Amino acid sequence: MPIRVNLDVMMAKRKISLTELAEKMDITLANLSILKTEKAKAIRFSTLEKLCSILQCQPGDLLEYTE
Amino acid sequence: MQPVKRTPIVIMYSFLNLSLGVVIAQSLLVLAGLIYTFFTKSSLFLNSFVPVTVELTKDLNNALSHQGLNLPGLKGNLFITPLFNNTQLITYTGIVYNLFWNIFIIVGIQILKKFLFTLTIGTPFTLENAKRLRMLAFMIILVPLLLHIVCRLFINLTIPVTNGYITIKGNWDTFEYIFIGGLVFIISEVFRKGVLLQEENNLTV
Repeated sequence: MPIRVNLDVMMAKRKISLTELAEKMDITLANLSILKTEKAKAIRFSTLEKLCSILQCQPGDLLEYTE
Repeated sequence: MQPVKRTPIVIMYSFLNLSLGVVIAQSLLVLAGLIYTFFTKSSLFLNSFVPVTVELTKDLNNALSHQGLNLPGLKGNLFITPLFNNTQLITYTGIVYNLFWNIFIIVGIQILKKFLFTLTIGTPFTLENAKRLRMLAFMIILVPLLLHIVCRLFINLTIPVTNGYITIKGNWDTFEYIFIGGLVFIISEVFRKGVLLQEENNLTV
């Protein structure tokens, strides 16, 4: 997958656990886990918005394109 | 989500099991008859398989509409040929045709049973079920077609009777099977597409 999800890096920087993040975002742990392990096929803008607002970052900090 | 009502599924399952039993029993009877005939050289079917032999020879038109000769998937013309040597010219193509048809029905019922089982244990929207439907569609189209080709290769179907044999020229009349098979194939493709859509939806965060 050329698009990498750097969610774990951002979570480590903000010192927040997956469970805590799922609770704050109001989505299930399973879905967040799918996103973190890069199994997700698509991401909604609303989810991205919640992530950015909670982690205080830009979408570019979470997603990265690699050749 | 409401729980699935299981009563219709259970009824359908029992019905399928019942028909499976009937078909298997019939096939076994026919097979036993064939083996008996092979060893004793005297046919069990001479009088029972085509019960109205005498009437058939009298009335050809009536014979066409007779129920006892209504082989599934085959419609055609009846010809009655007088037979001088009874034991040599007896062929069992009609019975073998019936046996092959029974095998097709047994396999089809097994597929339907597996499909019904997935309905009772959870979601039926899986790729396996789509494959099952597609296999059923190909079976519905190909099996009557193959049987017809086999019938054409042997020129006609011959059924033994006591004082002659009846041949049924096989007309290629499988349009209805192609239609039904095509319908099932379309459903299977829609099913497959639905499964893929559901998978994609499940992996959208």
